[in-house]
Amino acid sequence: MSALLVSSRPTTGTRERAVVTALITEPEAPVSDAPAYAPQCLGALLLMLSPKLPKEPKER
Amino acid sequence: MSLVDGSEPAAYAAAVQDVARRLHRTLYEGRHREPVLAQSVRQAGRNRVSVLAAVRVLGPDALAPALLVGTSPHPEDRDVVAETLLTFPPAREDPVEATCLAHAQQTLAEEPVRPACEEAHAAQRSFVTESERDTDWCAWAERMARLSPLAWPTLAGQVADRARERVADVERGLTRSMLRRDYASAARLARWAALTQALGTRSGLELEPLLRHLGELGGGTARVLLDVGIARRLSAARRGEQ
Repeated sequence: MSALLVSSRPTTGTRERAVVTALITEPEAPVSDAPAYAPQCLGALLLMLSPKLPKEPKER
Repeated sequence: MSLVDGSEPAAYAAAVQDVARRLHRTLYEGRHREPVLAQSVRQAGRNRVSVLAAVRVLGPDALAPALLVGTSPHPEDRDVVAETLLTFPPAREDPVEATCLAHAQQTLAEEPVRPACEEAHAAQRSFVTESERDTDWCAWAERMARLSPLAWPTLAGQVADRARERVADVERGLTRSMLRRDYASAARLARWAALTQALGTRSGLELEPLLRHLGELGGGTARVLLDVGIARRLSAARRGEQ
């Protein structure tokens, strides 16, 4: 063993071991919500993307 | 990172993500011979136990850089794994998944890396027997997802054989996780799908677009990125790109 293994190696108790076991046997995640329809965002996006009103050409 | 021992659940979970981030960066940059674990331990200071817990949780994946190029792990990293197994030794009351990962890690910590020992075989046999009680493919796939750090060609043994026999259930579970947007489980099952394909099991599943999707939208956690990175390497090796 190299110097990495120090003599004052910490010992772990039941609680620490239980945490490690819980992380290894992590259950699957709950179902995510579906993407929410947000019409107000769509309106803002359409306004941003809409072209400017055409102008009359200048007369010379 | 400020991990404070004493609030173990949060500290250990954060350490898992931190070590996974370091491993992923090492794989991405091709620095396969760096002692990632030893560097993590040195920089952790008084949070050393959190890093050891993370190494125990990550199982053989903690030595992913060496496993991917087929070399022995760096001696300093082997020492960290040995210390991990002394600090968090496998116990009789552990769930079989934790025992499987501990014995697989043990074989990698030795020099030269030895083939799976009798304890590792016995743990895998117990897992296969226990998981077969789950007649429901959802429950079976969930258990397989937990054991994804074992999904390496040289380590998985009997579990890989069972995954190849039930490849349709692996892919069903993977599809279900994607539809549920449970990207952590999806990335773990993608590891088994990549392994079964790498071992020559025929499959209609096109893994590359799925891995790309997971990499880009998979929630951005380091562990998901590590799983995706390893699955991509296994998949690329199968196609002869390495």
